[in-house]
Amino acid sequence: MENQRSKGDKGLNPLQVIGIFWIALGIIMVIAVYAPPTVVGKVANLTAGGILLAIGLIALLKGTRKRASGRAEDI
Amino acid sequence: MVAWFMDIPLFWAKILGTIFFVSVIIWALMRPKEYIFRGAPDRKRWRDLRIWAAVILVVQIILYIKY
Amino acid sequence: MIGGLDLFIVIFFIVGVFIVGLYFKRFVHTSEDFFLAGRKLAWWVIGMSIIGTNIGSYDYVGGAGAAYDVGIAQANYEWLGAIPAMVLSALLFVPYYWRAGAYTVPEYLGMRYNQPVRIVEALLWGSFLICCIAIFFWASGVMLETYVGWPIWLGILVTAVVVGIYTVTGGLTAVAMTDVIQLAVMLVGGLAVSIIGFHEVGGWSGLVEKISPEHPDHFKLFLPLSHESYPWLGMIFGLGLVLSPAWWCCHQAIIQRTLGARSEWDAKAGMLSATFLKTLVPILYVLPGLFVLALCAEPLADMDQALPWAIKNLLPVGLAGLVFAAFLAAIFSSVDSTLNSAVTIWTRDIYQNLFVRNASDQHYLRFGRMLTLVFVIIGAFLAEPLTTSFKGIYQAMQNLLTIFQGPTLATVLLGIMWARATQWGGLFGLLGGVACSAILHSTGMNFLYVAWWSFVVALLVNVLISLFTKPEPVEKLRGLVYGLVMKDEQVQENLASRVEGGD
Repeated sequence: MENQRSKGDKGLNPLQVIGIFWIALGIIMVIAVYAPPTVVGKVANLTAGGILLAIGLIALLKGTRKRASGRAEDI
Repeated sequence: MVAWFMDIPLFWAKILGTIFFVSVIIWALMRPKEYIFRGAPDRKRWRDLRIWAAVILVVQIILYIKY
Repeated sequence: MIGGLDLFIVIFFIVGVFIVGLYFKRFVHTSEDFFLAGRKLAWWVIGMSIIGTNIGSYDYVGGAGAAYDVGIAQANYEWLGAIPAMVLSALLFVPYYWRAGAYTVPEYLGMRYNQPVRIVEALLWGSFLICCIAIFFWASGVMLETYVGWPIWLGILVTAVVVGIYTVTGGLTAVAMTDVIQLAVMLVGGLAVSIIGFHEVGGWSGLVEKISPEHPDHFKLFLPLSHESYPWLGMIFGLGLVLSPAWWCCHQAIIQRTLGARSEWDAKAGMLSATFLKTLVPILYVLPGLFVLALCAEPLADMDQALPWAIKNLLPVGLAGLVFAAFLAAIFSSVDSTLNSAVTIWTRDIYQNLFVRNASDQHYLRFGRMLTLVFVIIGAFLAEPLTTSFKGIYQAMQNLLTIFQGPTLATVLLGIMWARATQWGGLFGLLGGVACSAILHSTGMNFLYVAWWSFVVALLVNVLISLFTKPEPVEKLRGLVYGLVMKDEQVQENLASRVEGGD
């Protein structure tokens, strides 16, 4: 049953889904670097945004690789 | 009796806490290899869960000895 | 109150979690998919989901307040009071549960002892979890009112709709994957707050220099035996040896993720990987509590105001929104997990066990989804009456948990480890332990000691009655006692199909 399900499945791998979310949130945090007046505030926003972007990209790439190898539902 | 009990120095808390952590490390390291790797796709060293347990508990011992 | 960019981040977070959660509907085809994520979860998802579930909004607000008050001793709840028990759970309980094939802890107890034990445990945990849902909803409503300005009912409604819909449709898969997202947001937010805090106080040495002169015990993990709330002996015996193993080895919301693991190794590694994340949790709330103590010139009248003070006075625009999103993440991840676990217990241990035994798999899937919706509605409606009728409801819930945690641990432990434990030993041990807890509670004893003594009483009663009653037949125990499961080749073969592996 699982194989039947996976064959016709054109959806994203779960890692791709969470990767996209982290990347989007990371982009917002990086843009928010312009908002605080202090340097430490900018650095804190940049750090948070940078980490979210990094883990988002890793998740997205790993998910894409799994999907390409036919493991669309592999968590 | 109660006063004596209440006066036990904090030093003994560290001793008892460390014994507790060390006991769990020994118990974890004594788990058979077969049991630890059951269900794993391979037997690479990083998959040895006894090492995971020992590392995290050593971190705890360091924290509790320092503070 | 937050606004502008911060509000945008919060709304983005809520909408994003909702969409991501909803996406996982496509993974649910059977009741096993719904309750156990189709047994496909990888170890890192399990680890992150366990910690996401474990961190609640109270840990943030109450934990930061307690750290402001007592210092790093508050971290005992994350370290001594968690890590050893998690190792024990990972290497003893989890592989056992996984191989035994139970969906819930009460289900195991029913197989091991008898139906009354299963029903008593299911009712205790099932009722407790429903009350927790209501409390979490209220906490979310209050938080959204305080920081965003929404009326409480709107905050509860938003939480109920967002979490309710993705839990109803996506089951444990949606719950676990959104937990992963939420934990990352919490940790990143915590790290950024630490950067700001350390910059303001002049690093760790600056923090110690500012606090130590007036609060010399704030950098000690063990506090004297005379301490009202954190006596070191109670911490080691009550928290470390009883409450913590009871939580990490018997709590349905924690254990359920490991039961959804794709292999036995993933189940064990999931729980162990959570120990690494657990070590970092004090960064989220202990450090902010200490930053506030070091930086706030006037002592706070209410220590629970420590974290709100930090958000208002320390955090820049952007990060304040992210940290608030992390608060919401803590609530969402607790609500969804509690909801899913409550539904699993009520479906498997009450509905399927007592009322409709032989229906189709699709019937139980539909029932589980419907019950999730019902619990969301009950939780939303009970949120206000429950929290306003009983003062200190959260504390009351913690006390209730203490009453049956020790006896539950004793019952499960003997059930797994000792083949001689009989059904009557299990039943009377459980009831005797709960009665002992209730009596000791009424004397005003510290809850850490209550946990210890109720565990000991439940253990002794179980052993004594078991020795005086007829041993259970070997056929009944087959696959239910640790040694027998691990040595029984037939059980191993039957379960071998589950062992798939993969990274």
